[in-house]
Parts: sequence; C-alpha cells; structure tokens
Amino acid sequence: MLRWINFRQSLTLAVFLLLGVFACSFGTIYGGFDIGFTSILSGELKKLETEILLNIRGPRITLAVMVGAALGVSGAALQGLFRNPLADPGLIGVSAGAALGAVSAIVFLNVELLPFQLGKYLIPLAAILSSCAVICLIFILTNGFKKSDITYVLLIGIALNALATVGIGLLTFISTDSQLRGLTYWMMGSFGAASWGLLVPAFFIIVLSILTLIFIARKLDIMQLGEVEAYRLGVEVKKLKMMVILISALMVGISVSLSGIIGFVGLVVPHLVRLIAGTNHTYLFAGSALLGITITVGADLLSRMAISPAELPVGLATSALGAPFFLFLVIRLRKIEY
Amino acid sequence: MSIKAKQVSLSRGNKWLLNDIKLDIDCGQLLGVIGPNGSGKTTLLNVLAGDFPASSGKIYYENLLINDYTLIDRAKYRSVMSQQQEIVFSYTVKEIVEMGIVGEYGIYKDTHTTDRLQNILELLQLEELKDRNVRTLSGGEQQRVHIARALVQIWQEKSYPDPRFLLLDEPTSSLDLAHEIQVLEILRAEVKKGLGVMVVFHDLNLTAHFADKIALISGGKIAAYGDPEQVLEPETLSNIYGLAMNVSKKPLRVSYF
Repeated sequence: MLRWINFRQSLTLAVFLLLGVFACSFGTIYGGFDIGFTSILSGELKKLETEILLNIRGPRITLAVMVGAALGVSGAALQGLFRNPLADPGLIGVSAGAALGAVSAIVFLNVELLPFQLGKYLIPLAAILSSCAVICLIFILTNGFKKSDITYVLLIGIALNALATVGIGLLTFISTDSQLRGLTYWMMGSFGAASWGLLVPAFFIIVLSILTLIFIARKLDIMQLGEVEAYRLGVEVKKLKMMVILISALMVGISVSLSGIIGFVGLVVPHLVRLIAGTNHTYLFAGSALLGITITVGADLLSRMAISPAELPVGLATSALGAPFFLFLVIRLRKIEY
Repeated sequence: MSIKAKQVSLSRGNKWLLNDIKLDIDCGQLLGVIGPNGSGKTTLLNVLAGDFPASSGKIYYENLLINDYTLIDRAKYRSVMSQQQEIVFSYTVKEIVEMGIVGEYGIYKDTHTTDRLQNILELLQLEELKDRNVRTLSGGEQQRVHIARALVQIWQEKSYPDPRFLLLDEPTSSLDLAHEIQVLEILRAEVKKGLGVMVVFHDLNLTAHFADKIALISGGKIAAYGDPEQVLEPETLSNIYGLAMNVSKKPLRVSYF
C-alpha cells in the first residue's frame, strides 16, 4: 500500500471508488432508453440494447470517466504547482486556450479533407499544444510562478480567458455553416459525440499521466515548502515544474478536444477531496481522479435525464454546481482551513 | 570537516552583495553571523546553501566543490532553514516535519525513519501539536515546526560520525523567551554531538552566549571574524551599527541603551 496515505485516506478512497462504480453503473443503465440491469448481467440483451451499450453508452461513459479523472487530477496538480487554491484549468485560461486550439484546427485545417483520418487526431493535438502555450504564458507572466499571488494569477486568467474567447468568437464568425455546428459543441461541453477510435489512445495517455503524477506526488508535497526549500531538499524543481505543466496541459488538452469545456470540475473536486481527509498529493491525486469520475458521470446522467428525451449540455450542469461553490470559496478563502 | 567559503563574491548588476568572504563552518562549532539589516547575512547563507552560484570564489563541502555534489547528497550533508515560510494548504505538523526526511520521494515510505521523526517531535515539544493543521498555529509554533523540519533532515541520535551541517536564518525571531532559549540549548547540545551549525542572529547578547565563533558582516564584507571576545569590540560594533555600544567581559554582554 502507498505508505503516504493514512487509514482515513484509504477509507475515503474506497468510498470514492464505490461511488464511481455506482455512478458508472447508473450512467450505463439509465438514459433516454433504459436498459435492465438484470439483462446486462445475464447477457440476454436485445440487438438494439447491445447496439446502444457498445456504440452509444459505452463510449459516452468511458469519455466521462476519462474527462472527470483528467480534470480533477490536473486541477489538483495545478493548484499544487501554483501553490494557489484557486488554480483551475478553466479559471486560469488553460481550457479556453485548448478550446481555441481545437476551434482553430476545425476552421483552418479543414480536417475532413485530410487523408487517413489524420484530421481526427489533429484537433486533440492542436488543443494540447495551445493549452501548453497558455500554461507557458502564465509561467512567463508570473515570472516563473514566483508571483503566485492569488489575485494576480486569477486576473491573468481572466485576461487569457477573454483573449481566447475573442479568438473563438472571430473563428466562429468566419466559419462555414457545417463548421459552426462542430464549434457550438466545443463551447457547451458534451460527452455525446464520443467514438472508440479516439477514446482508446486518449484513455491510455490519461491513465499514464495520472500514474506519473501519483508517482511524483511526494515531490509536489515538498514543493509546498517553497521552491527554494524544495531545491535544498534535493528536488529538481525545474524538471518537476516542466513535468507537471506538460502533463496537466496534455490531460486538459485531450479532455477539451474530446468533450469541449467542462467547467469547475478541476476546481471543486480537489477542494472536496482535501476537505474530507487531508492535503498530501498522493491521496489528493487518487481521490481527485475517483471523485472527478463520480461527478462528471453523475452530471452527464443528470443532463440526459433532466429534460429527456432532449439533453442539456453537461458543461452547464457542472458549472451550475461549481460556480456557487467557487463563490463560497472566494468569500471564505481567508477563513478556510486548507 | 567543514563548509568552507574561499574568497566568495556575489554581484547583481554593478552592486556587490558579497565581497571576498572567507569563513569556515566547522563540525562541533556554532558560528554566529551578525550584522545590520541588508548587510548580506541571508545572501551569504543562500550562497553557502548552494541556492545560487557565487560570482567568484569557491565553496567547499569537505574537500569537494559544492557543484560536485548531487542535490540529494547536498541535502543529506546540510540542512537549511529560511526566515519565513508560508504553507498554503492544510498539512499537519507531522507531515511538514516529515518533508525534511531526504530522498524518500517515491510512492513508498521507509518506516525506519519513524523513530527519527518521533524523536524530533519530542525534542521540540511538538508532540501534542503533531496532528494540528500547520496553518492554524501561531507564528512561533510554526517556526518551531520549521526548525524541526530542518533538524530532522540531518539529525543523528548519538553523535555525528559523518560531517553534517545546519544553516539557520534567524530561527528564533518569532519565539517567546523560554522557547528561544530552549531551541538554542537544543542546538548547543547537537553541536556538542558534533554537528556544525551556522545561525544568523539578530540579538548580539544571544550570539555572545551561544556562539563559538562570530562573523560580523557589513556591506557584504566580513568586518570581523573570530572568537566572540575578539569580534564583540565596542568600537567596531558602534561604527557598524551606528549606535553607541558598551561591551562588558565575563559574562560577555553588549549594552546599547
């Protein structure tokens, strides 16, 4: 067992895991078309049910799981790196940057014309590169994260978000009608358009990224003493920072390119995980992944059920839950004990 | 067995922050560093710790240049405590102190270090606070937590067969009188066991009482260096601090009002 995790934390992780399994089961069974749980277990599925499970629900739940875990963990990683409890890929402009990248790829590269389905992979790549660019920009503007003052970083985030929004707006304006349909999908955030072809490679990258972060979590704990202290304690700070930045950008870029912007998961999840059983990053990463899964899969189920047979964008559901929590955090920031 | 600075200078722009510094921190000795604000005490500590390279001159850990050590080997050889540290998230006291245990950066924890951790918590009377959120502690309590974190990094139970050093920047600035003396007594006890200690002091009388050797820094230069009786001269002190001072011997005391 990971020794840095204490008993209470192990217990919390077990509960999160259970919640995640429940959420995924319910998410698979319920929706516009309910599938009996017993018929899944007994394997006696009608052709339509099999079709729905394999090609609609299956990839949809898988995508929600990936995005939930990726956003939860990258939120935790960025908060740890910035030593700032309000760092969230959405708030500091990383998600918007990724969306700008994806949108640029759709409008400029004319993805459908590229051979070998190359276009399919170009959108995620563009999203990853531009989220990386945004984090690097923040890195430069904060003088290497030295000015990690909460207000300063958030103001930079507002500016970057605004810039990215302008870019997306311009691209929307010059896009063709068919491109516009694709674009609207990025803005809202949805798990509806998932297909196995993109999910499988993305799944492996995200799992690998989360495992890597858990493996270097201890160093991120030591970073909380300050960069100079961490360096004196033998942590190669520059390397660690680069690694966390690249991994977070990779995860956010992949998530945004596959599902659009899903707000506030990266902010709320790590805070809840900390509130329940502590701050150390080994537990925090594992917990944020599991709770992130529960929340995105749950929000997706909600958005499908709320106005069934129509569907709410899932980003709307997570923001509806997350925004009030964010407000609560800002108001209580000085008093909050974590 | 010492950390040696040889003709160390440091410049930023065309300003010399440190100028031709030559001093040793020896095992089994407590070196007190004193001087007015902005004289370069903290910068000297940073350079000796290896935070950034000197513009010229050399720093030796034993017979090797500081750059010949890996970061982990440096961390096992010397431990450093800065003046101020702010922890943003709610770690417990025990977790913070545990961060001082060097090299355990993987996902597994070595249980052999538990005793060392326990000893240090008891030594600094942090036992009762160990599960408290460090952010809810008073300034003085937090300072003791960081002293414990620095001490656990190089601490040995009986004696120090290999050279080990502790560099502290005003470690008792937030402590009440009783805890201040207690911490300095703990440092003295470790020095007796063979630890080499450098402390940047604010209070001249504490320096006089606890230091084996004193370096008086002014304008980035060493103004005086040697035994406390030699360094604490009323004329030198009055000149450097810009305040009339008297020094009485036996016991060695500086009075300035």
